Amino acid sequence: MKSSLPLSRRGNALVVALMMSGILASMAAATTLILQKRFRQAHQTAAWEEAMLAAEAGVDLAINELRTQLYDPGSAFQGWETQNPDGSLSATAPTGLVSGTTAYYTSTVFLRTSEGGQRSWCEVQIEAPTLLIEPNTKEQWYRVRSLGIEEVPGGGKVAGDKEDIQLRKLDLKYNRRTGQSLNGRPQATRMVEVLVKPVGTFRLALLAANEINMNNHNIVVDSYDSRDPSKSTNAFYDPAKRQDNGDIATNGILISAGSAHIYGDAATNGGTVLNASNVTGEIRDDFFQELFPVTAPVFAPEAGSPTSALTTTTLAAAPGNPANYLLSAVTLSGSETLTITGAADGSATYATVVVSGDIKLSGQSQIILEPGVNLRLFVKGNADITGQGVSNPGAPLQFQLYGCDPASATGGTSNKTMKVAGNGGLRACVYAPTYDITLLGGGVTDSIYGSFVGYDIGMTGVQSVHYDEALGSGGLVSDYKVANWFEDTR
Amino acid sequence: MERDNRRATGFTLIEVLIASAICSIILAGTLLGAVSLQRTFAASEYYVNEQAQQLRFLDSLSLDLRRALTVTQSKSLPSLAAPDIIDLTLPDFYTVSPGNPSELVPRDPSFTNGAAVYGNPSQNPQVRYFVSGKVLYRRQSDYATGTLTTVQKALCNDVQAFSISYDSAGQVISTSVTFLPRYRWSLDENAGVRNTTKTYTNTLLRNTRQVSSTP
Repeated sequence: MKSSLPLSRRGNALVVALMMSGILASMAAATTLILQKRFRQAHQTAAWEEAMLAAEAGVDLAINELRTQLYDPGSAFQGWETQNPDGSLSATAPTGLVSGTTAYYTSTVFLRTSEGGQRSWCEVQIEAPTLLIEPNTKEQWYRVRSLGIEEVPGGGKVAGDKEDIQLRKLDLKYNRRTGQSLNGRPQATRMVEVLVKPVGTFRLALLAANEINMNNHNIVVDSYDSRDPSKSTNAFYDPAKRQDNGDIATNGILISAGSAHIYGDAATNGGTVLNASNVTGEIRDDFFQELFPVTAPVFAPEAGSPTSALTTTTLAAAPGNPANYLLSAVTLSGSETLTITGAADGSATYATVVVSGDIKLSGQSQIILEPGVNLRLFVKGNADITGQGVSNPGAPLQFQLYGCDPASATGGTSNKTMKVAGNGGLRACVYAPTYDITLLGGGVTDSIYGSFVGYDIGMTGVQSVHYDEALGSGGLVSDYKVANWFEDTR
Repeated sequence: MERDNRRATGFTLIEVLIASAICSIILAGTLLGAVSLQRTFAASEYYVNEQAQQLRFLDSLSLDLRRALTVTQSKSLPSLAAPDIIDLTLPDFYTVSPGNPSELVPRDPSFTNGAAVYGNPSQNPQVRYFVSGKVLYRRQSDYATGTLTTVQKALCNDVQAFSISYDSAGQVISTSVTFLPRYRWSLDENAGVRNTTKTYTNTLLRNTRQVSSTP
């Protein structure tokens, strides 16, 4: 259509249109810039949070390897590298993390396929420095340093206020820890340092892989702490100082509490606590604890030592490193005894005894520990420690009885049985997760002091079980837990 | 060429007045709309900025709670219904680098009574979160450089209420903060016309379990 306007007027219309377009474009650009800044800030904040998830995943990986070292040593630290003292890496995986060594691992890189598409991974270091050997227990603690890394979408541009930048410390152009260029891949990193401590096998008063049956005898389960004078008297149980950490638990689904007075928690693995009216603590159904199989130590026995105990026998404990004895069986009757002798002054002595067959005590026979003796007794067969039971004048931790994994012992793979007499005040801790344990008592005052771990645990005639809280850090190492946690925010 | 005299004829006064009136109304409407849009934009931006501040506070508090050795709460005024002060103790983790006095490095732990500790427990860094004049602050005092150093920073503005509580037998700290944003250039600063936002965070304590009771 032919315009009837003069040329000068047509130009004015064009200018107005361009101006309006310019104004609208400026408004759109300003809005986009503001939105872009907000999106960038949101992505940076999210990446910073997710870097923490990656760092803590690295801690989990480290603790998992330490646990694997306990349960399946041949599979531990596969894919890891050994870090040399100068920080360089050797491609060989560490074979067991002994004192003075360091293991290093870079995790799989995870790609988030949704918005952003950024990658995340962690770099983990486990140290076993000599400075982390606990002076009293001589146990090695570990230091885990895990660096969580999360790439940040939106380019290497600052978003947020000065306080945000100081808090989150994003690496936009360079890696602030190494100084290396990031080549256009900005990242959020967070470093966590964790100290991991070993945990002993005796953490509960009663722990069953399957079932606990307290046999309806109104048993009392409570705790004391032999290390603390306010919770014990002369390191022994004092009913006036009773504590409520006498916890019982099962990996199975049933605890038959039998109206027992349990001064502590009762926990099952998705099951039921029957007759639990007298449980003072929590009743939980979310419990599970890995129960590692015990393998008897392999050693050369003391020269000239007996090879069995079929009559009264004496074995000598030694100061420092334990004296080692290997017996084919222990069978005592009448008034026969198996005595572990210690130092004349009652100072600490140690002995390890492995019984490859059965233990059977009857009549008035007894296992006697002299003062100061610390005995670790491993049995591969069945154990019937009735008769007069065990005389241990010391703390429960001084008599540790381990039932070996059937797969590593003679006599097949089925559960074995262990009967322990509680008469006379048994002080012991028993770890036999593949054994059906029966605790026997013969009188109205019979009490047991210690901790007991079995497949099934039953009680007959026992009046009370007193758990020594000091056992929680004793016995064989069965697990690791985080003792200290710190985020390094440099 | 013949000129079109009819199109060159001017507007009458009535036409001009009517056109001016219409233009004035349109212009006034446009201006009012623009001002309103600008106010809304400013308010939205302020609101978003405050949300960023809230996020900063939650992130900062979570970071400190995770690594805290102790957590206690108190009231700045006895008459308050709920505690409004959080005090944290952190491990004495940092020390001055032997080779570079301006650089802080992690120190090695040592054993005391069966527990691993960093540095001198009597010099553990102390962190306090508190509200003063609707501004939420973080204050840290420590001896990392060898002498007592105190740094206080404002984390966020317009805090109306602030409370914490213990959950899960003291293993989890729950924090809630209510913000009442101001609207810059608003014609009505009455609190009743503004919406508050409440943010929550639950943080699992990594180091220690707190008592479950609340003061």
